[in-house]
Amino acid sequence: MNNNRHLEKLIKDMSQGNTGSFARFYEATKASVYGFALSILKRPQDAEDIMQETYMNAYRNSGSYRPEGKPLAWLLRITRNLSIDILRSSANRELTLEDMDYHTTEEDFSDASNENMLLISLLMKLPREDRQIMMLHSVAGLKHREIAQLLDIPIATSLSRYHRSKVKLQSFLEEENHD
Amino acid sequence: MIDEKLKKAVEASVPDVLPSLLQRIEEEGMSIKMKNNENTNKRSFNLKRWSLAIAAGFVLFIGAFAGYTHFTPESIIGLDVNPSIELSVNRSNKVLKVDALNQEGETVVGDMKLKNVDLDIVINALIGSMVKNGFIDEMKNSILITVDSNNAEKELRLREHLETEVNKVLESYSVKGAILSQAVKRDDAIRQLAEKYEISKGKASLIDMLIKENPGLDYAEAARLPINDLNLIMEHRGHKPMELHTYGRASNKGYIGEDKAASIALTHAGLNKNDLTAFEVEMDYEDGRMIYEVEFKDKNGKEYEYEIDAVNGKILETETKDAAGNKTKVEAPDTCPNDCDQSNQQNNQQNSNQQSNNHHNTHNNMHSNMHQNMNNTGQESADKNYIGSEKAIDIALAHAGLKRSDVSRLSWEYEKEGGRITYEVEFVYDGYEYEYDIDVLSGKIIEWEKDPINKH
Repeated sequence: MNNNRHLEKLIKDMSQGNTGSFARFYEATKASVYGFALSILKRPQDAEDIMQETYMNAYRNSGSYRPEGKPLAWLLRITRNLSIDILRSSANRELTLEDMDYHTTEEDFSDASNENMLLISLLMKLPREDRQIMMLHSVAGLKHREIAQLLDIPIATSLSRYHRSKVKLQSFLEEENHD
Repeated sequence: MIDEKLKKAVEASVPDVLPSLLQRIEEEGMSIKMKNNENTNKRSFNLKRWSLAIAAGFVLFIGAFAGYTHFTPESIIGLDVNPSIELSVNRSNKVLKVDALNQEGETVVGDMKLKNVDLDIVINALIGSMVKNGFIDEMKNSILITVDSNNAEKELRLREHLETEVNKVLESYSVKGAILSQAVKRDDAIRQLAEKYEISKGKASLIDMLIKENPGLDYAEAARLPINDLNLIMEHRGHKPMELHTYGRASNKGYIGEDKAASIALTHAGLNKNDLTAFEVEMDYEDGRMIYEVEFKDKNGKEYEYEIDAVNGKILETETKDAAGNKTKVEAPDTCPNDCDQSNQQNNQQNSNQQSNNHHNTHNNMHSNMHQNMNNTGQESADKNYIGSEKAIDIALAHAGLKRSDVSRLSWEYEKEGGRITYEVEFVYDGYEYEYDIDVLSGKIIEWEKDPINKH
């Protein structure tokens, strides 16, 4: 069974209260959800909170999911909406989302000596939209067409920003390794 | 490259919020009654039946176009048991090439001429040869099917068709198979792992998934194990990877079983279960062989750890730690205990030989086989509902021989360890704190502990 069909079956089963299916659905998608939330919010604690709310929301609304072959995009849209709500509620509404970007403190990635944490903290140096595109393509495995729909941007923008971000991230990493 | 690194970095950093999510779901009373689930399961059987019928129809359909057969492989099909074989198949499901990937695979293929033969006939011949050569039997019943196709729709249908076909052949030999199927991506990392450990890409991909779900397992050692042992470990450790479709259960008939392993360890320690305050048995592997790890603690706080050969019950290693923390480790103590089961394998081998002689063509009962398969799928691999915290509490109390009214500070929560989710039930009775870990699906007690309350 391909991935999307399997995820859709799990959503259907969890809409009937099947906790086993919910657990499988969570295991299959957790990195995508957490990575995407982190790319929007920057703070690991906030991303974890949004992750919790995303899955609760998905469980409660699984009955209204329409199987159109895009279960992951459905889930990540929940993540995005909840994340944006958090940003809006915690900042001045007159500012743009980009202005509201949190300043990440070193404490947020306190274990930056760890190679994984280092790479994530370097990703956080990119602008928010670029971080989201990187996470959606590299971690969630979405196609640029799907990313464009989710973020409401042209496909060409998703493509060019993705390639630009990859180069930047690679150069950040090389700089770190030289230091 | 940077994509892959980022993916791994995020995967390694994801906090695990599943236990608290499950807790919230149960506390909010959102679980729906079992009755609804039964209805859902019935519906899913029907769906499966239709999808299999469509898959079978698809094969007939492409068979009608056999005249257009050409020599371009469309799919690569891997069969792994311990023998590993790869088949190149064209769009008309004719086999273009058969590659034995290891010595056991060569034994299975022998001098059979399989080129340009229909896939179903080749599958029948190869699985039959695996059974006749003793690679598949009641003790080792797991087979991994891997499909790599440049046509995604074909890949899915082929997997479903092959699952049915392989199971049909196994049933004709009276072997109740455990079938795993997966799609494998053309991934450089998997190819390199396969080359490094000299195994098929399918097996490399399976081990890769297994280790992602169960960090701490060793790749090199896992590569030496046959599929049935890998399947047993997956079943033992809880959740299987999502990418893997499974039905049927791995046979543990080649092994002595958890109860016997426990009894061997306890006999050696001179204890019985009533003397214990904690107890756990796990299946694992070491140096390419399957073992049971038995751990327990006596009333004096002394901890025991045994490694027992899963085939013959021989104690491979013992380690004890007394309450003061003094450790004693003995490798390969002088033991094959009295009930050490040297004859286990021989007996089972005899059984499998008898079964091999039962082979008969089952073309006519394909329908009943398919029906059986679908029931298996529903029972074995569907994502079952959890037993619920109330039942878990009942199981723990029954084990302790107590009633709810007897105990105080009764509490439960979800716990996750090594990919396995359990209900952790705790209560206090008569100056002791009891703690149980109970499997959310089977209700089996995985671990329990009884400690004097003043210790905390």
